[in-house]
Amino acid sequence: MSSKVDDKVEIASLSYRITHTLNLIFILILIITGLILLALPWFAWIVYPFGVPLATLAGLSPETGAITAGVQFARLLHRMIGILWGVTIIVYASYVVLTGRVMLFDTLRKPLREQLREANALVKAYVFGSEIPMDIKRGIGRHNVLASYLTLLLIFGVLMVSLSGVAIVYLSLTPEQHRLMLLIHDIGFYIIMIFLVGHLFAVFHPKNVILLNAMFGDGKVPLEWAKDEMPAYIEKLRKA
Amino acid sequence: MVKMKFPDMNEGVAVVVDLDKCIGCRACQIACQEWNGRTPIKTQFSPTFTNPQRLEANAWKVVFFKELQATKRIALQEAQATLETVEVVPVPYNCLHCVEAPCAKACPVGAIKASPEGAIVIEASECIGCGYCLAACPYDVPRRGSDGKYYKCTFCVDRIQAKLEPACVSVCPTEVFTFTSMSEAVKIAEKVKEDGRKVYGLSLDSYVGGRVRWIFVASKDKADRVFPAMFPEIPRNSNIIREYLNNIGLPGLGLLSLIALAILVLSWIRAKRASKH
Repeated sequence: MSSKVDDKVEIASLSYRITHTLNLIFILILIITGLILLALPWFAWIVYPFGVPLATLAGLSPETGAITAGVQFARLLHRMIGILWGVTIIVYASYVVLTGRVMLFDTLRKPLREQLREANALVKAYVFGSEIPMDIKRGIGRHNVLASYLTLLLIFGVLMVSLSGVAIVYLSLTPEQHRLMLLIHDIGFYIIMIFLVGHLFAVFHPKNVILLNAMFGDGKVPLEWAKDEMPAYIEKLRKA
Repeated sequence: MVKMKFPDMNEGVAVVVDLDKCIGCRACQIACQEWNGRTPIKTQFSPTFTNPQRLEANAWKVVFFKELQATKRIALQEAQATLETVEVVPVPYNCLHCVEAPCAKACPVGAIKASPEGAIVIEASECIGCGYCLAACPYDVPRRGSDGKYYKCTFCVDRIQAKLEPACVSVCPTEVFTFTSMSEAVKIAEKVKEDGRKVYGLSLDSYVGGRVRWIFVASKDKADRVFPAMFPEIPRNSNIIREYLNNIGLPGLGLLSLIALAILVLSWIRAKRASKH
């Protein structure tokens, strides 16, 4: 996953970038189709562009059948993409766990007081543009403490939506169980959305544009930048 | 969640169901199937008279036979005998047609409509079979048919609009059902209360609009044992939480995104200025 090449250092392997891109596509489709099912009055405008042609194809009146056909299509797509997303996550998670490549939670081994100091300094840096004190900066690895906690949030949300989703689609539930699963699915969705807002904020922040380019490019960042932003990670690579 | 316009709770039609008059003949159940062209369901052997065991896509009205433990006192000439026995109480049951039906609000495609009379009707051609109506219904009424769509009692809205009573009402030999306007039904129910009997359906949670259009009345003893078993007083908690969650969650997410966007814009402006310097 990581190898120093000339003046660049790899921060995202090919498998990571492929999985990330697949995740991006799947989550985007799942969010759009999910929002349609969750709150149609707000998101009906998304349905019409494909609902009208689908209704015509199905022999329904485009005026009255657009919503029926469009939402049905969104519901089926939501289920199919949900399965594909689940398979992608299971395959990639198994790969990184079995090959010992999980680095996301390294920072959580630090004492809680240090974690809080780091989080505080990061929030000030990202929101107010303050400088991160050198003693804190030296301890930042490939992923900072905020990224690690956001990822924990994501894992929690993904578990909630995937388990409840599987139960809704594949298990024969009583109405009461069905209600509970829908509630868990909704809560999981909001948790994932909170992660996404945080994630998108971080990657579009001027401090991290280089990371964004690397993720959708060759997976490498300039060494000098990495030394400044993730010194503990570079130190770890150097020792390795 | 779909925003719907329901008739006012004091407008439209209603039915008062007097359980004390029901003899469990099931004429209403048969009339419902016959009028609505539902395929008959084969009777299955079971420990109760109830057949089928629950509402089905082809059984929109079912008479449930509630078996209650009862103590009967027989006055003899020189003594009094007390017998422990079982009392079978027939309860003709169908969609209660909530004044603000949660099923209609939950349907993501708006396939469940409220007629001007207050009948809550699933438009089968628009149903996508998601089951959100069943999940939202506090009485577990809508049922999935073999075609994947959901079905339930229509209040015989076709008959009502042709100035006829619902099929089940018209055949009852003991006049269990009083089909009338909502305002009149409320008056009947109030009178029943004054007579010391009990009423279900008038003062309910706002989740169902505070009232249902099938109002059940029964003697106190019967009501105390039948109503809790048949009708939940508190709506489904998970549904209430979902409603609150989505009312707060989506605007909250929008707000959070806007704040994040504003901070991002400021950060970029700051970064540009810093690079100029």
